[in-house]
Amino acid sequence: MVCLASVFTLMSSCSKDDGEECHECHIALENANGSETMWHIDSPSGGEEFCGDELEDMEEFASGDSWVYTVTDTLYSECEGMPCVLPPGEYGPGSAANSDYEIHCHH
Amino acid sequence: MSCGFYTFVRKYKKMKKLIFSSYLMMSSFLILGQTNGFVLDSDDNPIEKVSVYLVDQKIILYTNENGIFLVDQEIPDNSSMYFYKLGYAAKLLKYQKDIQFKVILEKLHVTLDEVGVTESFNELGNSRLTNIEKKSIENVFLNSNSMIESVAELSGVDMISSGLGIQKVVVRGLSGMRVVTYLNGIKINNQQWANDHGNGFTDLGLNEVELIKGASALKYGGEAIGGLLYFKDSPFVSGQKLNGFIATKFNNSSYLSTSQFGIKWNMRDFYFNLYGQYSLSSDYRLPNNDYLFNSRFKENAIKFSIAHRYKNLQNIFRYQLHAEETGIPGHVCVGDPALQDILDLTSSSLDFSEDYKTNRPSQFINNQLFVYESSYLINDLKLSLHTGYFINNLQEYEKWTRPAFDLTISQTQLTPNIRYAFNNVTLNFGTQLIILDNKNNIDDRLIPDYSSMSIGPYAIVDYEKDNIGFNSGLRYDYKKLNSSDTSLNKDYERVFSTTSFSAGLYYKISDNSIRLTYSGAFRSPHVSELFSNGVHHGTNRYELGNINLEIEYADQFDLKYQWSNDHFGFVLNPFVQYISNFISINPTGLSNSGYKEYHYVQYDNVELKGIEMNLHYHPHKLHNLHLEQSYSFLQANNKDSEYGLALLPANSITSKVLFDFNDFEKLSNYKLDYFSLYHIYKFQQNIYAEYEEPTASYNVVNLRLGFKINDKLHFSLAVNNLFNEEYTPHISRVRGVAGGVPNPGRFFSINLKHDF
Repeated sequence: MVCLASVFTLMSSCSKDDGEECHECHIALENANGSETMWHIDSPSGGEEFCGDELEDMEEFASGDSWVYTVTDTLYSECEGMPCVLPPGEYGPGSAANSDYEIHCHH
Repeated sequence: MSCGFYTFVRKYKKMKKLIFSSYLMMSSFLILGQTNGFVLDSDDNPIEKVSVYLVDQKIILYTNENGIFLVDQEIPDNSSMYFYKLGYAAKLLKYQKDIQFKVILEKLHVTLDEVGVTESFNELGNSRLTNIEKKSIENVFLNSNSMIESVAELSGVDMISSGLGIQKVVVRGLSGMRVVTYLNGIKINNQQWANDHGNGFTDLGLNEVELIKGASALKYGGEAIGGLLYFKDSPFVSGQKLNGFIATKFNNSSYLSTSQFGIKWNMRDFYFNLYGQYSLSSDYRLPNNDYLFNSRFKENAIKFSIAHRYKNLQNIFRYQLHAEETGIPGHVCVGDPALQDILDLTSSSLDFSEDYKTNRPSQFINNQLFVYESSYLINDLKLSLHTGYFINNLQEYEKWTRPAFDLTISQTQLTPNIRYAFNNVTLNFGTQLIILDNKNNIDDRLIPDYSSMSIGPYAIVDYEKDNIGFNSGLRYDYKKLNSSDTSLNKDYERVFSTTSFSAGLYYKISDNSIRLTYSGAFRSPHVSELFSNGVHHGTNRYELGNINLEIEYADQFDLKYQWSNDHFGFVLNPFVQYISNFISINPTGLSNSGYKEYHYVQYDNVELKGIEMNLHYHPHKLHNLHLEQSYSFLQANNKDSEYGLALLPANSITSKVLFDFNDFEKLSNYKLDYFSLYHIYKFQQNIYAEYEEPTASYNVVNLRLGFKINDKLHFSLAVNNLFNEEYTPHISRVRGVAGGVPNPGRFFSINLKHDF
């Protein structure tokens, strides 16, 4: 019975983490050579990472077919060692000019 | 002087036999009322620790140091008894009450049981008449890195994998829906259509796997075009003493830690087995010492079986819960996976506080299996019923908070069978009913909701007399597939039905055995092939189904020839399989949602042919040394395309050297048990699909040293990939990513098992 109880305890530890998830999110664009350029975006609360409801809301937002994310300040990244800028504007599948952009929240 | 000495030895041996015979008679007298027997070798010496498996009761007994076994249960006459021990020719006998058994097992220097046409008990049928192979997985935890790796050592068998986390069996070049897996008689439907969806259970509490290579569609067939795997639980033990084991293993590649325990118990007519497992692994190390990010996994499992016997009736209930969190390595967010830089997919070091944690993308899998087996044996008639309920929940996460898809399969299976044996004929009649329901638990989906009902009545006749045998079987399958998923914009209902036939002929003359089999099988298109429409992160593809797909048909001819003497064994197994309407996935040349788009097509005429060979050499002067070599050659001709088939394993030559230290007293003092060397040479693969590339040849060498501290405590030390070869198998899950992500580099492992 002790074995049974300990295994059930172990089984319960194999469910998805209950703790609050925090991850960085970024706007991404696929390059012609198949690589990807990413621009980091801050969370609504101003932090580097999106946590809990903020993360859930952002992933929910970016999973639709017609979302538009508005960039208010220029974002900076690197493209093959060179600086890349993302000017303020609307990005995402619902925008007229920048529909190839995606939002990912990753490791 | 020496003549006198030999006379003394002969007299001593005669006297020993006389004393032993007297002992047996006395023992028989003392245990009068119980059926007993003894197992001897051909020189009348008792054999200890022979497994005496009561097949119909699923109970195992062992002979004691005097070769005696005792059947203290009341079991029906004509129950099958299977006697086996490594190094001896196995025997299958019928139980008769109150008759004392004297069983002679012949010593075998060359063991071809796994590959040969030998006498053995098989759930899948008569192995002399059907192309059934079997492999013991009882000690796979102690002697191997994983169950699938161990099964893949059989000739003609390979695996699709990305480390130890995701592993799938490939049989003669076919995999996925074409290879059907059964666990204790119940079909495992766990979204096996995708290469990132693994086996769904581990070696926990398992005893053996039976395998049919190629088309097979009789008792357990139906859709098994590529092959059929039948995994069996360990038998129950007799005797009221509680026994069991604890085991653990560790490797320094992914810092894998796995532990198992098992308990077996018997009280009067009740039998009980309980097992548990916990596994935790980080990312595996490549030959360049980087780690493949997200190849980590966690696995937990618990299972138990309860049996009750009363006279001729036996009931068994089994339950199994398997939970898994498996990372999907080699994932790219957008673009062509082949163009990725491997540095973006790997890390230079492990952080133990972070790198055991589940990341993204990942699968969360929960499998539950309920099995009820009932059998009634009277004289030559056996009535049996397998009833099972299997639930599989698969969630695949690419995002942190929203699954990309969340699917639940629930499957009910009912398989009644009647076996009647008379004279030299065995008849099997039965049917297999499977009702399956697949539900999406969220709006996002790759495949639609669907349900299916399959029914497959069959009849099989086996005839065996002396050294000749014949087998024939017929099966009719009816499958009704329904889908009313709103994502399809219309209701779908279709019936797939067909008839399959198999036949086998066996002949043995002196040391030569030959068997020829024909088997036909079919597979109706799977829902993923009909209706897929979306990004599949496990394959880095946007997949599109094809509603016009038709049934695949396969016909296989398989010839097996075996010859062996005391020191050399040889098996030759050519085969050819013709498949019409072969379903394949091909790139469309377009992109969708940032991924390359693939769609399902059908080829009219595909031919798979090859030859498998096994050699076993055993030097006369060194009986503890075994040299084995197996050859697997496979060729696929796609007569409708300039390209070959996808995921076709490269040809290979496997060599094994096994040295048993047990007869060497000095080495036994160091607790040495055995030494094994395993070498595989994979040829380059130049047959590939449109979206694949050729793959280079490679060599891998593994060493293992087994220790026996005492009869109860064993451990083994192993070096895997001794020469740190950088290689990517052609059928690796990550072959198409970053030019091919290599398999693990050199690593060490230690496995330990304590029986009690």
